[in-house]
Amino acid sequence: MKNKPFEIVSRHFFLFCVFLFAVGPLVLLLMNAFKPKEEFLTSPFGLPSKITFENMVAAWTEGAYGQAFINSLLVGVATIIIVCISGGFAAYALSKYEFKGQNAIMAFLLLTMSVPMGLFLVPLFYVWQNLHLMDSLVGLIIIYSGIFLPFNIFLLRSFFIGIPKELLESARVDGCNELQVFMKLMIPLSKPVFLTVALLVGLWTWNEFFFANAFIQSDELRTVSTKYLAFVGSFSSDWSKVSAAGLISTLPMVVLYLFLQRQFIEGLTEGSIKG
Amino acid sequence: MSADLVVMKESINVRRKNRKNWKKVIVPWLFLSPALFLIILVVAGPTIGTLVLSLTDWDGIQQPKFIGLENYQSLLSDPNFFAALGNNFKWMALFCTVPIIFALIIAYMVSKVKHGQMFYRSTFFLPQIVSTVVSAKVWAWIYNPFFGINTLLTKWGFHNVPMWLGDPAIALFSVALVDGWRYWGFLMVLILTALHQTDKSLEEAAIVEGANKMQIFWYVILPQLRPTLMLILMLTMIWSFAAFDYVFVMTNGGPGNATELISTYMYKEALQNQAPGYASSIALAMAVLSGIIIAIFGIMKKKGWEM
Repeated sequence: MKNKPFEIVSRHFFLFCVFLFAVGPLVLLLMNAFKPKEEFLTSPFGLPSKITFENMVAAWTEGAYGQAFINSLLVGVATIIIVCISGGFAAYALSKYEFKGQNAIMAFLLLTMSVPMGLFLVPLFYVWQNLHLMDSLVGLIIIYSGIFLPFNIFLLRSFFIGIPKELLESARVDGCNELQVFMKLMIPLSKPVFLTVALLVGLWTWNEFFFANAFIQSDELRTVSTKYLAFVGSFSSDWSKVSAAGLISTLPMVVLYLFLQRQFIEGLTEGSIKG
Repeated sequence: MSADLVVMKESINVRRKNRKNWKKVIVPWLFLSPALFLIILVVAGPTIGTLVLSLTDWDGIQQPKFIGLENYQSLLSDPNFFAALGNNFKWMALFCTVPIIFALIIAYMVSKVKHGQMFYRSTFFLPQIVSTVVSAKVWAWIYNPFFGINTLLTKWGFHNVPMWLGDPAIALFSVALVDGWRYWGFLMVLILTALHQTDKSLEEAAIVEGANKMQIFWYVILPQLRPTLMLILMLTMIWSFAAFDYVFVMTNGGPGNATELISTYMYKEALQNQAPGYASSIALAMAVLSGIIIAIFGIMKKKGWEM
């Protein structure tokens, strides 16, 4: 119990070093995005002597990021809606009904949740070609919905279980049919978990590049993350611009995270424990 | 007359009851159907497709030709596959130790901090939020021999600076460091949550008994974290077989096949080498391996290993 002040200071010092390790690369990204291009060559790790928006503007216009943002938003919002509605329905059935095959469905969801994406990529590719869903945002939205559903059903279900059955029973006595019970009771009572699902699905669709890369070829249909990959391909020597493009790609999610950290952190960790 | 009425009433009741039962059976499936449809279309159906494709010789264009287990035979004599498999095992060994131990130590330290716990928690978790493509490129730049960290290291007087991504002997570890950088914060949060749920009175009792800090951590705290740590170990093992993102963006398996993983090798065979049939057998081998791990943990759980 002695040495206490020393212990506190050394603990914070150590944790501060870890903090530098965690955010250092991101700070570098930030600095290089706002550093004049000439200065980058002389001192790539130093602080910028003056802040310039030149790189950011150049990256935004030359990368045509406006269209990419619209695409990513469209894909994100549509996937969130599909996952919330169909996932909510499924979680409702799994938490508030007893029926034959329930355990089989749970096992099925657990299995589909842990399947690595390499295991279904190839056939999906050819199915999508035959359905004419290649190189289309609708096709990408369906893929994301299918992939993210199992995890989110578990997340929703674990919240729904806590809602007392008597509440639903009394609504039924009042003359609500099953769909109305879901719409008028379950959804309003479960707003926090739907927010978490929306955040997680939004984060994943924004950052996802594996399927977006394999299933979208047209430049004007690219989402933000694949737009960034293409941008790096054509400006690989200009690190100031590439850093600016990287910052543009991550900033929306980082800002959202700064405001809603608790929902992000708890959603991601609790979801994987329960799954 | 009255008897007829009773019979009629009863038959109506039975019919109502049947309708109600029928409804009870059908309603949950109606609610499940949209989600199940999507999951089967995107994940389950194509997964079965992979199973079938792995038994064929297919270039992706012509009709697939059934060849039985031939793909698996060539897999067993494919040095590239074994190189990738070896890298996956190295990757797994690394991730099952370094990030977990690091996260455990840091989480314990953070749990002892009075002010700033939330700050540490959210900044350590931040790499998890940043898009993989972007952080991979930032790190690729840090590793770059002409602009990156090596320019600083030589200025500080270090000679023989490593070629982080260029040297086949260390490239895999360089990429693993980046994935670990992203991954450990997630583990830290999981462990920190578990630490907050430990029984504080046990710790106090140990202090009264005169246990030192190491003993308290080892004999009091660690046993209580065991379920969480086992879960983390299982998740890490499963995920390490599917690792793909950072290798794909930073080295794409190179130099040579120094950083090739099963997943990147499969991706190349499927989309670049026009051998989707063979790629399917690679994917299936990967799935079988993670299936074995899940089964081992399942058995351990049944044998009462306190998961």
